[in-house]
Amino acid sequence: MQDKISRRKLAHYVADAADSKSGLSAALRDVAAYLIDSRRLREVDLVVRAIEDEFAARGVVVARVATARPLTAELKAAVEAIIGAKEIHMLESVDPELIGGVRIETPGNLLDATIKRKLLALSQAKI
Amino acid sequence: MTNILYQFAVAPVEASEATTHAGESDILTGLGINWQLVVFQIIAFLILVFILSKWIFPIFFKIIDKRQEAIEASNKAAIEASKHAEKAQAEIDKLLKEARTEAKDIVTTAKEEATAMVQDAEAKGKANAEHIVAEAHESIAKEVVAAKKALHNETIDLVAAATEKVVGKTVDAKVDSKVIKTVLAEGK
Repeated sequence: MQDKISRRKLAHYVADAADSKSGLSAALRDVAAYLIDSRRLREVDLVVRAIEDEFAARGVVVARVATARPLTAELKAAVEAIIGAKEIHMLESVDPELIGGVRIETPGNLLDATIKRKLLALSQAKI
Repeated sequence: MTNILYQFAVAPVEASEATTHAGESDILTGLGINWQLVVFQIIAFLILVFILSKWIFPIFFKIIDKRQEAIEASNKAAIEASKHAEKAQAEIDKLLKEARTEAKDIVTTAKEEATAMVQDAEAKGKANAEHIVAEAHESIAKEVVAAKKALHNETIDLVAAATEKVVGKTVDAKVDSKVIKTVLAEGK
């Protein structure tokens, strides 16, 4: 039986491949093949998180930014400034249900300053 | 027996008659008393007395003594019975007295117990009533708290819904941008 490789090792492998600039896509393919082969597809999201964590540890942050309206260049710069990493990959999403404000999610951190969240917090203040 | 005694009596008389014929002037004879006969009668009397006192009287005395003893015993028994009766009467009186005292005690105790039971029942009833009132108060208080909670939660829901609607309409791109800038400034 094949030995189970930890998510952390997989993430380390992908990050190393990205640093070498030689084969990030190939490394990701290898990992995907491994997950399929070892029937660990359920862990895909967790593996992606682990890879993001590994990149964050190396100064490359993948940030998911959600707003009610598309961000302007000024706001993007402000968001990047608050994240404060040397390399930021921003994954933007627009969700009108958020009403207003911004939600920034980075590996290990979450800043939810949306109006929707505040209203939800108000609703959860029930006794 | 009488015949024999008569023969003894007659024989000296006849003998004396023979002798007395000589002195007819004797005084006793003149009075019609035969002294020999008198002597004989005295002797016979003495013999009779002796015989009676020797064999007959003891029997009577013995019977009389026995009778006397029986009477005395009866008297003694009667006295004893009387004493017993007095003693029994005293005992009865004592028992009656004790019984009356005991009955009095029982009645007193029963009255006290009845009073205690009534007081106990009153106390229990009072405690029960107080408990019911306390429970009712507690239940009312709980209901009030639950109603307040429900009102509070409903108000929050209404406020949240109203705010969402109002804010959703009033927040434009400019306001949103300002909000984001403020948040990011606070985040630094």
